[in-house]
Amino acid sequence: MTAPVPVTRRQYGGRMELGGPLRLGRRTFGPTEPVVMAIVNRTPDSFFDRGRTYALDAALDRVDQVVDEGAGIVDIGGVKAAPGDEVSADEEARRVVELVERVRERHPDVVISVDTYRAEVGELVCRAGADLLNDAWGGWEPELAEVAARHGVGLVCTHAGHLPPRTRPHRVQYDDVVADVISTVVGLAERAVSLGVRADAVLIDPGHDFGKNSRHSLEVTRRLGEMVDTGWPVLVALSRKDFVGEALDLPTDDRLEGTLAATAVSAFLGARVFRAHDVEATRRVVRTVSAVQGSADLVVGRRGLA
Amino acid sequence: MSRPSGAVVPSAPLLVPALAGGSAHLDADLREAVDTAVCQLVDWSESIVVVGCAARTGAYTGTWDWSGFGVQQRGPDGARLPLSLGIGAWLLDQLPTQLPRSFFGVREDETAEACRLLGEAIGQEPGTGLLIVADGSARRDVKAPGHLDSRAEPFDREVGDALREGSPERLLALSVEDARELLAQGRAPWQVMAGAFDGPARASVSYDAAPYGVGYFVSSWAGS
Repeated sequence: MTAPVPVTRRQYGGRMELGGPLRLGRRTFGPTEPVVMAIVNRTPDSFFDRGRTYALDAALDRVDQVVDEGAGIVDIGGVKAAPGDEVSADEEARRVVELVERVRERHPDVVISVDTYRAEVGELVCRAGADLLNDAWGGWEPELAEVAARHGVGLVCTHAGHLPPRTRPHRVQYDDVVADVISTVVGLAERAVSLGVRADAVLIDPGHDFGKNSRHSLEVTRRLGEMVDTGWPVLVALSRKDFVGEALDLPTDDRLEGTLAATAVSAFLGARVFRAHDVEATRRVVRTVSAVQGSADLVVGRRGLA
Repeated sequence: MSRPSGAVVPSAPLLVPALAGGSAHLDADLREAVDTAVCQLVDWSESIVVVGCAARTGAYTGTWDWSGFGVQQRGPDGARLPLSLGIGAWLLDQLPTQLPRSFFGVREDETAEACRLLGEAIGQEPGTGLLIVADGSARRDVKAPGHLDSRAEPFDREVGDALREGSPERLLALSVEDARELLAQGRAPWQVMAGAFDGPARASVSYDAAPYGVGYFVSSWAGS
């Protein structure tokens, strides 16, 4: 990892209006309208749900439930992030394409995201009705951005620590992790736009735990405002990750509170999309933060006013 | 058109949608009753005098201003009126009316006779419409601002009946002491309205309930 030049708002602020609307599928999300992205895994082996929604019907039930709980985006994945059994592109497509089609039929308005690093799979899910490609491995296949451009869908540009897909960080070091994150994701975002991806459909994600030790992820969280200042909408994927676990020495089942604390900090610093397992809890947290900030009004205003 | 008219509405900040936030629609029936009563009063009147409880008895000038409640909204020009008079000003500002308006505050502890005389003086002006911004007991249930007092409901029932009957006498008979103990701030303003009427009024009550522990009344009075 080289030491990138620190990035300032002035350098990148001109790319798009700071805090403009995010347009994905049929939805437009305003700058002060935080969005919960619900994790829907069609995997037998993901770290937290461990196959609970691997079956098609179980995945569809999960989608119905998270839409009901207020998720604006569902993020469908067919390959676990961590190392494990090899999943071919054909097998990945088998897992996700039909699910995308079925979700599209049942929920015309929900934004469908697919978590994939493969352009081949991206192409198939876009034909099936996906609205967003969540390139969580940071542009490993550069053609994925071209697929997004061709289909007019959105793209998540992630900092995965320059690692190949499904690898773990080992003794990774950064001179300045935030500077590396920003130069990487802004580079990916600008490249995507130059290829024809709509600027109002591009998100940047610091990639917590991806190519990072826990201190790196905590620093990225603490300094998230610097990412927000680039003007690109920031997505954070914090849910039950190791940086929360190591802050507390707790296993995945006991990381909800820590996840929500990091969620609240990120929301306060300006993150706009929150990828989460626990949709309702996440929605309540970001709503409360919005109310504290004054960007959302009370849902009920009666105390002391009768 | 010379006899006075009256409209009684609550002094509750939650009537204002900007303060009620997302729950504004839940009190739609109350707000509709209030709007109807105020519209009717404006139709019947040549000028409006808003009357409500205030720290001193006398005329006020100014406008509504919700900044004290944490919402940065205020009416055009002028100092912040006491809450009851501000609610009245805000209600009038919601209507396309150019009627002259004035504001009259009355201390919570004014005697019934003092209130009657104030009302009589206000009612001298022909075509006056009195917009009475006043509440019943704030002790109607255990979650009420003043917690539950078992005397609150009978007190408010008497108020509702007096308003429904259009009886100045019954309003003037309300006990100053009971009203003070039951946190019924409306007593003095209602008695001012009673003083403006030299006999029974044609009256109706369109709202009489305490959904949040405070007695709310919406009532219209016309000189008969």
